[in-house]
Amino acid sequence: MGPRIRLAGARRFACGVRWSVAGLGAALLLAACARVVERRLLQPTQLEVIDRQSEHLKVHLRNGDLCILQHWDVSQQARKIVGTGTRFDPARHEIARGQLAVPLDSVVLLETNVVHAAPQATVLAALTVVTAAVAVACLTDPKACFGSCPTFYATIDGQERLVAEAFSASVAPVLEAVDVDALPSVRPSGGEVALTMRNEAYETHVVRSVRLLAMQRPPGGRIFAGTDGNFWVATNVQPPDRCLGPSGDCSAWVCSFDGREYCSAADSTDLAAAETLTLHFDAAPAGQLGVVVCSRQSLLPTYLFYQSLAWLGTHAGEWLAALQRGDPAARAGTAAVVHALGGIDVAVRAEGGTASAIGRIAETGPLATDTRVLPLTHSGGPLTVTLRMAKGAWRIDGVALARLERIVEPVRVPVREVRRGAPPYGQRDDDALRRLLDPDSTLVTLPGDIYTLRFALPQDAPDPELFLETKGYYLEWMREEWLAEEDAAHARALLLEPQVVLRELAPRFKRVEASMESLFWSSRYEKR
Amino acid sequence: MRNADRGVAAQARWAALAACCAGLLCGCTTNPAPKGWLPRAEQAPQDRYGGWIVLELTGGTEGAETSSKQTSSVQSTSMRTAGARIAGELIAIGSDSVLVLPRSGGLVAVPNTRIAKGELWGYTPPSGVIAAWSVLGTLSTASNGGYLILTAPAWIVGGSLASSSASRASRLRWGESGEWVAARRFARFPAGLPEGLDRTRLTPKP
Repeated sequence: MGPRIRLAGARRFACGVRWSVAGLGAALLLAACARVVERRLLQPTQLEVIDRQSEHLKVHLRNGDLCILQHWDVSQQARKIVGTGTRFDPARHEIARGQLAVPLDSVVLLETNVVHAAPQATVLAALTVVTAAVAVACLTDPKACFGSCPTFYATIDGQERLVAEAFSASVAPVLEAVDVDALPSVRPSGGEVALTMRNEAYETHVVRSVRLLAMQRPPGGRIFAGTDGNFWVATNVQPPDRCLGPSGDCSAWVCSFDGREYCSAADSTDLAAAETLTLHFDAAPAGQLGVVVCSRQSLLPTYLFYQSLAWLGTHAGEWLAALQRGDPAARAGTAAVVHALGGIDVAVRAEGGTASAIGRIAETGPLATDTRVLPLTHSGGPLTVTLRMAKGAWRIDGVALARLERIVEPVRVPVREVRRGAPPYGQRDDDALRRLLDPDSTLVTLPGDIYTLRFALPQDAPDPELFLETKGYYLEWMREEWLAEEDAAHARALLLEPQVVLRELAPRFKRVEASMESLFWSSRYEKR
Repeated sequence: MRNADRGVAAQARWAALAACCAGLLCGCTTNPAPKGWLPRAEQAPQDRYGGWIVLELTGGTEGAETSSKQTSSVQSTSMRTAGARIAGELIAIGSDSVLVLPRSGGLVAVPNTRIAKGELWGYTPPSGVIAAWSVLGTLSTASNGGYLILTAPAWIVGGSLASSSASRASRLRWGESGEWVAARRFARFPAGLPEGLDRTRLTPKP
């Protein structure tokens, strides 16, 4: 399914939004006018219980006169009410004005009036708050909407947890690719692993294959996927001795793989502005080593992707088609945008030596963390590792140094059974199973679709290190509200001069940055 | 869908929304006082007159008493027809009668036994504001995207109830338990007509 092109609808929507915001503003102004009166009558002997909230005191006299006092006091000694106001005769003609003194024994009744908000206004105020909150969520930035390819969940410690997101960078058929994600926390149960695959966004997912990669974990060691495409047996995994970022010591976040992530805020003048984390390993061993980085993207790249779709607007389909045809301009423009924000560039420097780049982490997706190792050779001794990345674009769970022993070949485990829905529910879906096993066929999922995939692990790997290997692509659905932002000039500028546009977009992104996380997760699509 | 069809569909949606807004006002009670006669809530603390009362009388032979400047005495006016109405400023509520001052002048004392139905409005109820707020709130749900399915009905139901309730906020009715006693609060003379007062001196609110 391609993007839906409904520009006229989008304009009507934008117009409706403007009128609605004006309506809400007017409603709040009206709120101040919805008042009711609480009137009380008191005997002259009840002066001490007069409601002082009443701005005016009406004093009804025995002869029918009425005094309306604004500021008053009671002189018990003189048995008088003294105040400033106006006196009226029984016909309600004004007979005196100014300072008045009314003998208490001439008073027949006292009257107070307290004006307050109508109780009905409370109901409408609550409705206004709810409506405004929903409107703000829709208006703040629809590009904070949940999205990002098929998500995979596993039951860990009795709870369903997000463990991977598949082929996040494959936003068009031509970009169909194999993606490998580490599943460090997934453990088999009874020789079997069950993963739930969901489509939680307004996207069409085209899944060609899903496989588990299993390798026997070495005693005391780990297996990491390398940026070079190999799987490395790693031992002697050691955290950095200290880590320094632009704001000082960031060891608490970066020195352990515990889910506590380092993430700075984006630059307010240039979204491509870079920052550097410097990690010190005081006693790195000699030999074949690897820098292990556990990370995921922030929502900044997602925002940029959706912003580019919004600017492309009704021409988004043309852009995708050009990409599909292999149009050099479309490919170059897309590559330029990706390059502008960049990945995590990793470099090392031995003591007394010069820094040398060892690779780049470019795993796409803001949902699940992934772990990669970047190989290097070291002669032993202190080693400094630097991670350079766009500010606010990445979240770093942990960085470590490991000795890389050897490359291993994984056992590729195909799906054994597919069921519709999340465990323990769901009917067997043999057609979906066939589609996932046939390399010439694909399983297409729509928003809200859920499949549970079961894998039977090989018997010779009792404690396997697991990875998820997926292949496919996905199509982002065009949102009506995005179409309202169609802007060919900005779209062209983003593809041709992304650095300039990233500077221009910075203040706009900063306005929504703080609320993006909650908006993103709250807009997840769930089928009820 | 053709453009013309879209236009018709859009018109239908707005018509439906407008119909809902109109429905908001259906449950409201109209305040019968002459326009601008009753004070607004925030003016009530400084207002020196009574509320607006409308009495419907039963048929019968006994009459309501009328005072006029022309006669300088209390007159008896027979109102034998059931359903006759007297409307004006509430002057006082006595133990056996209600004193009303119509806009045309001439204090009328209506015996309690002749009152079939009565309504008193102490001040202008906030129903207009609440209804306008409800209509704007309902229209503003257009900004809620798909959530309009939830928020628009909430506004329509909540707004209808609130408007209806607000329209009765300053109304008291004859015969409802305890309400008529409370109606004294909105009389020009809540303690009753002062002794010895020349009734002909009372003039209507301009």
